[in-house]
Amino acid sequence: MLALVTILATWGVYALLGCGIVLIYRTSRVLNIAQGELAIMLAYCLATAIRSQLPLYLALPASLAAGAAAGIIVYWICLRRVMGEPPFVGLMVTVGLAIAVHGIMIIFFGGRFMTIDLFVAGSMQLGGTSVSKTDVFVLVGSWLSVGLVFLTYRLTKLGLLMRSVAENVTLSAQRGVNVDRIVGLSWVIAIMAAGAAGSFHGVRAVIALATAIIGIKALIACLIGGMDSMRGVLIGAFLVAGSEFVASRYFETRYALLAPIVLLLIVLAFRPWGLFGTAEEIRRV
Amino acid sequence: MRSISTSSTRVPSSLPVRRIHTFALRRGWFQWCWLLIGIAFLLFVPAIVTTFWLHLLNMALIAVIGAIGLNLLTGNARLVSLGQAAFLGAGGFAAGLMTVNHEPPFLLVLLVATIIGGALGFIVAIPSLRLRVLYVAVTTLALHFAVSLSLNMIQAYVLDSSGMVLPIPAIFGFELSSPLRWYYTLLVISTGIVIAALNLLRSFVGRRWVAVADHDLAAESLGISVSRAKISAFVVTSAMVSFAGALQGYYLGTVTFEYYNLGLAITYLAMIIVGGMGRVLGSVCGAVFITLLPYSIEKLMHVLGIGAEGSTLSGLHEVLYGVLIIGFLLFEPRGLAEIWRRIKTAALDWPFRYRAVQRIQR
Repeated sequence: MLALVTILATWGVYALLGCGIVLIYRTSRVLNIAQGELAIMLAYCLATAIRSQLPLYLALPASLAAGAAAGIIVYWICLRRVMGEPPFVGLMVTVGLAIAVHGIMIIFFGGRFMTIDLFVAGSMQLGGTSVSKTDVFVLVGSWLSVGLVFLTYRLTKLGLLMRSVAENVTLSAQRGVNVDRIVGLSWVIAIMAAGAAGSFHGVRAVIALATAIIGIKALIACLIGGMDSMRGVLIGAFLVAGSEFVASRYFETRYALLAPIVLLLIVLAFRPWGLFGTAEEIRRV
Repeated sequence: MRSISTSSTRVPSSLPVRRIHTFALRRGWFQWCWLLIGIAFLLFVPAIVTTFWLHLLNMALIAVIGAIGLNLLTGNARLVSLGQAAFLGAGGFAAGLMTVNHEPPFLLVLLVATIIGGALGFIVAIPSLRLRVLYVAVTTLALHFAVSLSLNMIQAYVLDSSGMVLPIPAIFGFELSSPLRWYYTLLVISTGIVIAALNLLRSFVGRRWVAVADHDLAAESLGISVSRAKISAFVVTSAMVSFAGALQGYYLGTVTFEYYNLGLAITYLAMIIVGGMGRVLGSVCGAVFITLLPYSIEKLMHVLGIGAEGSTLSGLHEVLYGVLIIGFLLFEPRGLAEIWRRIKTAALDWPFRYRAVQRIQR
């Protein structure tokens, strides 16, 4: 039961980060390397806000607003100009973004270890075993957030427009979709999701500069599932979280990153477009 | 009028260009003069800088080799590599491990490190054969983590130490014991690599890479083997980078796995983006610029009287790298090399705004 809760909570965090990456990739064809860094920076912000005695009902909306602001800055200042450029340009911009955000974290938070202390603490009985309440909180919270992103994507008009842009930019622009705004909004939503994921991670574990690695893990999850598939990222995140858990439980903690990478290499060797991705995404030579 | 195409001519026959000059690197006595002046300047640099800046220049010269390798791979062959630190680390560790218990000759160690780098490049080339831009980048990222984990384990389990100390190398009795000696050796080596890279790019190997980068399907249908192009690109450039890694290990005297982190790979990416992707001159400019940048900033802050803590300073450097990468990509995608070309053209054409057409073609 404990294992199940742990895997589900990690899965939720990776899925939340990953669906942001997929959302960005689908609408703007940019692979966002900086997702993990942005997540940790926003988690740092929330941790600082809570530590400075800001009440929770102010701190949470403030952190979401910070996420939205980060998304607006990132898209409208950096990424907007490289839309339509060769894909590696966008990739490089996010690499630059990642290192810049990393530097900002060093300057403002000094690379300190922080935790987000919420009202949940202690453990509870679940199915006969005792599990930590924070894990359950993270599990529920992250999956609710994933659900929210999916509902936005599937059911709202904004989501419809996003899907149309993802399907065909030129056609949707000709049908009167404001492509620029839709792509920008998908960046905003994705980075808000990243902030939430980082904060959930911070509730369970420690926030430090090195934990930005969760972005890489989410990226691996997306690649396993297929970069252009929102469904796929859920499966990919499960595989990453599961393999990581197995590796660190039954072998050694330092293998925790290696297991998802091995999995990724296997998937890349046999289905380069991922388990649920469309094959046309990469022209095979 | 010049005779219309002979069968061996590769240049479109309508252009009044003599074939022999098409891919020439240097043309005319004027450019030879500038080259000689440049060489003379480089030879006299140690006389005018302090030992510390000479050390930095040595670091820059080693970085030039690594950046040229990365630029050939990422700028010319368009195979985005986030695994630069892994290749550097492979070279450094190869050199370190070989010199732990024995004392093999310096050049042999460099050769072995180069071969190991090439082999590693071959391994990462295989999955990249089926992949394109983003997926290649991710494969090299996976390679980075795999290699850095292996280096970590080698250091922890095999050596059971916190690093390796390398001996002072000697080339045929010439001991590289001072920064000055290192400077001249590295100058020769990097010049060799620069010339090699320039020649590689105008040979069929380099042009094959560019063709595949521009359009792989078209290249394939023209009879260029895409797999051979990709494999050769990875093998040659990673051998080069690994060579730089071994040199760096020897120069710094110690090798630890912590040094070869993702930040190092991003620093090298910053070098080629700031310098200019796909240009050898760009790698040189970028490597020197990025290596000297942190210390120049420090010096500038010292002069201005602004003090900062060490951690703030390192954060500031990272922000600066990030801003430089993004800024150059957005506003000057062809880098410092393009700025230099523009200055040169403006100076040559002065007082006119542009050149007459005939002069370009001659």
